[in-house]
Amino acid sequence: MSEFRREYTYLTQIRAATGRSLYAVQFFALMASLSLIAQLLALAFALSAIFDHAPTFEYVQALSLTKALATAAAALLCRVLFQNLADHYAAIAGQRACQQARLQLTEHWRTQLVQRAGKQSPEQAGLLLEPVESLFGYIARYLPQRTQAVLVPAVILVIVFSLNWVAGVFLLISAPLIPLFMTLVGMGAARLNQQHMDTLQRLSALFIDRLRNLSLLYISGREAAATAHVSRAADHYRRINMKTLRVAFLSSAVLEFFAAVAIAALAIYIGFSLLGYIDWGPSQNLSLFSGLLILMLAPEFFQPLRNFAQYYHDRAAALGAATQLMVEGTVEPSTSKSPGSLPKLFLRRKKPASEQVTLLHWQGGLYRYQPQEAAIFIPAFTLKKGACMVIFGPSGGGKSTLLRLLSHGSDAASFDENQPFLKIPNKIALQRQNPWLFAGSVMDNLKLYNATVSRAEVEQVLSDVGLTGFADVSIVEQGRNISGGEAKRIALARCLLAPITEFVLVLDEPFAGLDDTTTARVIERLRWQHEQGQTIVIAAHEHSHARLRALATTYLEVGEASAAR
Amino acid sequence: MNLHSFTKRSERDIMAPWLAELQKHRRFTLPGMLLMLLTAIAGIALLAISGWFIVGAGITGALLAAGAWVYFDIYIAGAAIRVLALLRTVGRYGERVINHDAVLRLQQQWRVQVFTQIVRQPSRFVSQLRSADLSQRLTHDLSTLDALYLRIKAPSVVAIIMLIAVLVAVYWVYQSTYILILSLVCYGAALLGGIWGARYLSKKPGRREQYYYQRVREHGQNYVEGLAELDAAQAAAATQQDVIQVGDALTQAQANRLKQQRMLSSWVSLWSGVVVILLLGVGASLVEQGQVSGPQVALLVFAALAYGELIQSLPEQNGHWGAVLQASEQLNTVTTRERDEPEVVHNAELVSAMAWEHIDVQLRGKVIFSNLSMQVQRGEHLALLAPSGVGKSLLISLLLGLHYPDRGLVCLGYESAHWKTKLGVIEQDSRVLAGSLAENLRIVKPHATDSQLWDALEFAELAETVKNMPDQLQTLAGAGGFRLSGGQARRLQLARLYLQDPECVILDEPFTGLDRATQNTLKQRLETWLASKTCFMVAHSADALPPAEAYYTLIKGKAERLKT
Repeated sequence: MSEFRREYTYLTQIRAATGRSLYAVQFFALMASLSLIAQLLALAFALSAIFDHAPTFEYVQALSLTKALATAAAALLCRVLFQNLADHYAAIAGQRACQQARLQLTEHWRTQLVQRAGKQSPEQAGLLLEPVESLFGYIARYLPQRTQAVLVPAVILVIVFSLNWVAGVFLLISAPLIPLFMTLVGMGAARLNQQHMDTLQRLSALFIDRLRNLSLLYISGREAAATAHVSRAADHYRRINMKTLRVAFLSSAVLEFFAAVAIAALAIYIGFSLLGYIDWGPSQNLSLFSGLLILMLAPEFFQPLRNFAQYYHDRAAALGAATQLMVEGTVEPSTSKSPGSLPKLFLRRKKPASEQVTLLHWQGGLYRYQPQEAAIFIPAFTLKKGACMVIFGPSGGGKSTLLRLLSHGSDAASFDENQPFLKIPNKIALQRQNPWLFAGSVMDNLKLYNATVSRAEVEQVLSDVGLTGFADVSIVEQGRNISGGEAKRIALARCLLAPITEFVLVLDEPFAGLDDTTTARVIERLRWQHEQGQTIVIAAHEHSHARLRALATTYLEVGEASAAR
Repeated sequence: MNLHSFTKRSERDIMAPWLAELQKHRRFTLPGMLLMLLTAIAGIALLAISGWFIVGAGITGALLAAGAWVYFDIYIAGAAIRVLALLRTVGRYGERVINHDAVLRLQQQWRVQVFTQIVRQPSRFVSQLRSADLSQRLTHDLSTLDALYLRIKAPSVVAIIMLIAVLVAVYWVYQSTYILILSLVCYGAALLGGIWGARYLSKKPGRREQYYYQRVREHGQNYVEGLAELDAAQAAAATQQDVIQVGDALTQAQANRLKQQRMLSSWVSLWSGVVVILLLGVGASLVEQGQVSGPQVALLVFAALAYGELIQSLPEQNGHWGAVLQASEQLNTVTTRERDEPEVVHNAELVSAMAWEHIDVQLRGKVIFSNLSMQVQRGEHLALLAPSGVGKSLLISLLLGLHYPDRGLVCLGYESAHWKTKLGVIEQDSRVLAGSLAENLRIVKPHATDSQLWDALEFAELAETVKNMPDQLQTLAGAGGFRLSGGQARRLQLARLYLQDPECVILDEPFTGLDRATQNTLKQRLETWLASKTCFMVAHSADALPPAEAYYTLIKGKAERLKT
């Protein structure tokens, strides 16, 4: 089991978030089972009473047939009531678990921004759905049933032993075989389930990718090949899925087999005892009442174990999910950080606002996304408040990486020199190469940093970036109905609208794809904002306009010359 | 999407295609259904015969003890019990394996069908539908449809058939229409709630659940995609809260559905419990009157207990109805063709390689083209220069049949069967498929050799970069793969174009994101390479393109030739 130790740690952590509701579930589930036993007791009494066989138990002797039936009915009602209460609390626990998992996951994504830059595909959002949901079953069904699977059979065993010890021994022998076998099968199932989840996630990712690039597939005439690819992936998924299911079904079949054999053997033993064919042990004293009661209790003895087996796959699913959620590295023990709190990285540098305050100082160093990947040299620089820093360099040379570091910071582990990169300690209006635009109108998008911006200001900035009349255009997911160039300019306009005193501008190649007049207008506007005291960081190709050079107060060269392995 | 419920009529329409599919694949599903029935019969018979046997044995034993001689066949009963026990276990296993296998096969077929439908309507899907919706339809909705047969149809049919069997037994033993009707009423109430009640009540939570499921996916994607901007602006927490909130709403919707199911299972337990008590009470009085024997009463009581257990899970199973309905509805919108794909005249006899004749297009209420006409002659290099956003890329979309003109004719001078091989396009957005770099290149030429791929990369100034990548040509790119920079992705498009080596080339801002030095090198290479080809290119200015023979621009929705 040690291979799942980290997963268990994760699940324990999730479980801790559910508070006490799980205890309530246990209590009410046990009460429901006791009511069921009472119901069966009353029914067995009624059946045997018909045939005038005086029950051997004193406590049931007082019952008449009518009373027995009434007791059965009352017990039935109690059972339904308790079961409902148990399920109610189980749902609460499950909900809390899902909430906690989503919280941890989203928090993790945020802390991993720079390291995973460019690898953060929107498909990751899928993790918030099925994998998180599978935790619900684990918390609300599996965990409570694990306790019930011990308690309820124990109670039944005590009753059966008091009626007839041979029958008790029958049950006692067949019971431990079940969990034993279950564990063996379950370990395999957990691994398979994990594989199943991975495959599903990959299938999903393949679909979404092929659809996003549908135009390429269409133009290249590769629709058939893509369909075949999808078909293969779907077939692979089916096979993996079937494998998982076969194991699951086999384990429950084994359980049922044990249960069925035990019940059949009991029925035959009881029948023969009643006929007087067995003349040793307690069989001679077996009454019709005890015989019937044992027969009725036998399925209920196995039922919690069968449920447990069924929910065992919730556990397998949860382990699979835990692995996925943890590949995301979510385990951060002891930090139940509230979503509102800010990462430590930028709490450290809070500073009074004054001219020429140093926002950020960096003494130079080699950055690596992953330990084995090539390093990018980030030269030394000092960013002062109110500065306009222009970062030059060839494409692929690390300009975007530096902008990411400036925007989000990074811990020391990613640097050869083992020093952390602190982010700019202000709010940043960031324009990326592939900017994020959310579904809504252009106007909505422009209000991202400044909700109170007026219609006139919006019209003005749109005309500055050459998008006159775009304010009410609606943007669907990924900016599908606007072009890449338009998206970049909308993002640029959005940054230009950010409140000047609050926000630092960080712009990644804002002029790529702009024509000369528009570029001139944007630079003019930047100059004005700079004069108002705004700090600006711009990444650009070296051939960018002379006017941009005029604007810059600091230069930084990033790229090939300094790139090291 | 809204949260209203379905009308009866539309419900039938929505499910029709999928029920027809199930019907069509009967041979997959019928054996599973029969095994399911067999398992149910074995389960009920096992308990009933055990009860009969024990009571019979008890009475016989008492008589024997009293010195009477009675015949009681213990061996047949014993054997029946053993056989039934085994049958139930084996049947259950076989039923599950066969049924799930059948359903997964169906699901795979449906998956491919849906994808095929989408690929056949590129214009609709390239521009209109959200990819989050699509991915949901293809994976989640199809998985949801599993339940239609496995959880809804098959168990309900089995429960109804078994009800008839139990009622026949009741009438046969008690010989009383009165009891028969009473049991029928009780079980009827149980099934009505367990099957149809569960279906009816599931519709609203089912809708809610699907609704929030989609919201979580959308908000989640939004959060992931926008995290960089949000985090930089110290505004990630609010969006994170949104994600958590819709997540909670989703879990809540699920919990509500479970709650309804719970209520309905209580309803089913109550009614089946009532039948057990009824059969027992009536049985007692009938035994007293000597009309039936004790073992017979036991047989019925135990059969009723077993049947109660069988129908216990109906509400849970039929509770999937709402989700199934919703999933089918969404899949139907994908698979139903809205209109024909835009028409482009393909004809190899045409004088010009590309032609737009009297095109009108309005977008967002704005006139983009009005009576625009333009031709690109074979062998000609024609450039269209205009600022972004005036419709340059739209002209290309029209030519490729990815957009509808409001009026006018679009012609391509290549026959319809082969135009895709003759035409090479660099789209405005770089297209990088999730897959290896080699796969990304081979998409235009599946049988290209590795050295051809390297040549193409060399041409696009990308070979050096790829040589330094961990797995070279096998390096995974795209979603979840190696992060290509904007410029690298652009050069990959150029490499792909070179590899394809088409007769006719369309370039949309081919050098976006490249630095000046690379741009110049590539410009020269393209110029030589293009010499014998037809080329239509668009950009915001002439220096962002290789040289052309004719330059046009767009003025008031018309193409005007520029004096050079």
